[in-house]
Amino acid sequence: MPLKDKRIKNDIILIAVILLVAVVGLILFNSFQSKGASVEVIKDGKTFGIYDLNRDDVIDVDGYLTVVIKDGKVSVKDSKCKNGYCSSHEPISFVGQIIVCLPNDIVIKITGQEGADVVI
Amino acid sequence: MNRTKKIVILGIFTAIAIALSYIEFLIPMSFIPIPGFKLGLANISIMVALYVFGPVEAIFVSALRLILSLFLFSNIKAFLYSLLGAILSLAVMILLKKINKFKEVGVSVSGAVFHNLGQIMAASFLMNTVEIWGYYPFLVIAGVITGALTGIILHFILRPIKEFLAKNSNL
Repeated sequence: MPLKDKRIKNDIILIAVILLVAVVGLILFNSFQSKGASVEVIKDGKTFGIYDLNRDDVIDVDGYLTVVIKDGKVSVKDSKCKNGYCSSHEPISFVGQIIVCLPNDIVIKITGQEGADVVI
Repeated sequence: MNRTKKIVILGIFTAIAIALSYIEFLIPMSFIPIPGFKLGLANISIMVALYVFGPVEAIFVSALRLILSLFLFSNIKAFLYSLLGAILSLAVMILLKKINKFKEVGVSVSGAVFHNLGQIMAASFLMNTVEIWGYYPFLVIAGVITGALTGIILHFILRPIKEFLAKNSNL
C-alpha cells in the first residue's frame, strides 16, 4: 500500500517540523532575558497596578490571590483557583516573564522600565 | 442514510463529545504546569464526524459541543478561548483531510496545534498580554503528544464505526 506508507511518512515529517519550530521558539524566547524593573498586575485585561520590583511588597488582588515581591522576584500565593498553576509557579524576575492565573483572569508580568514597557 | 438517522447519529456523536469534555473537566491536570493545557478528548468525536460524514457534520458537532459545554461546566472566557481554537482547529483538519496527504495522526496533531494557536490568540487579546505567547511552544509540544494519542485512538475506532454504520444501513 504505497499511499498509506507515504502518508505515515508525511505524518512523521509534519510532527518533526512542528516540534523543531516549537523548540527553536522556546530557545529564542529564553535567550533574550534582561532583569526587570517593575511588576504589572493585569486583571480582566486591565492594569490593576504597577509595582517596583526592587521593593519588597505584598499585594492583595481583590481577594483572588496574593502577589509577593521579595528580593527582586515575584511569586503568587493563596490563589482561590482550582488548578493552582499560579501559586506553584517558580518566582519570576526577567522582562517578559509572566505568571498566568486563567481561572481568575489575572496576569502578573515583569516589565523593563516603570510601566513604560510596550512590547508589540 | 436517511435524514432522521443521520440526525440521531450526530446527536450521539455530540453527546459523546460532551461526555469526553466532562471527563476532561474532572481529571485534575495540575501536574502539567501549562495554563490552558487540555487533553483534547472531545476532538475524537469531532474527527469521527469529519471522517465518517464530512466537514459540515464535523462543524455541527463541534458547535453543539461548544455551546452545550458552555452551559454545563464552563464560563464565557473559557468559551471564547475554545471558540477561536475550535474554528482554527476545524479549518486546518478539514483542509488536511481534504488534501489526503496525512493520516489520522497528522490531521489530529495539526488540529491540536491550531487549537492552541486560537486559544493563545484569544488569551493574549482578552488578557491584554502579548507575553502569553511564551507559553505557546510548551502548548505545541503538549499538543503534539495529546494530538498523536487522539489520532491513534481515532485510527483504531474509525473502521469499526464505519463497518457498524454500513451493516446497519437498513435500520
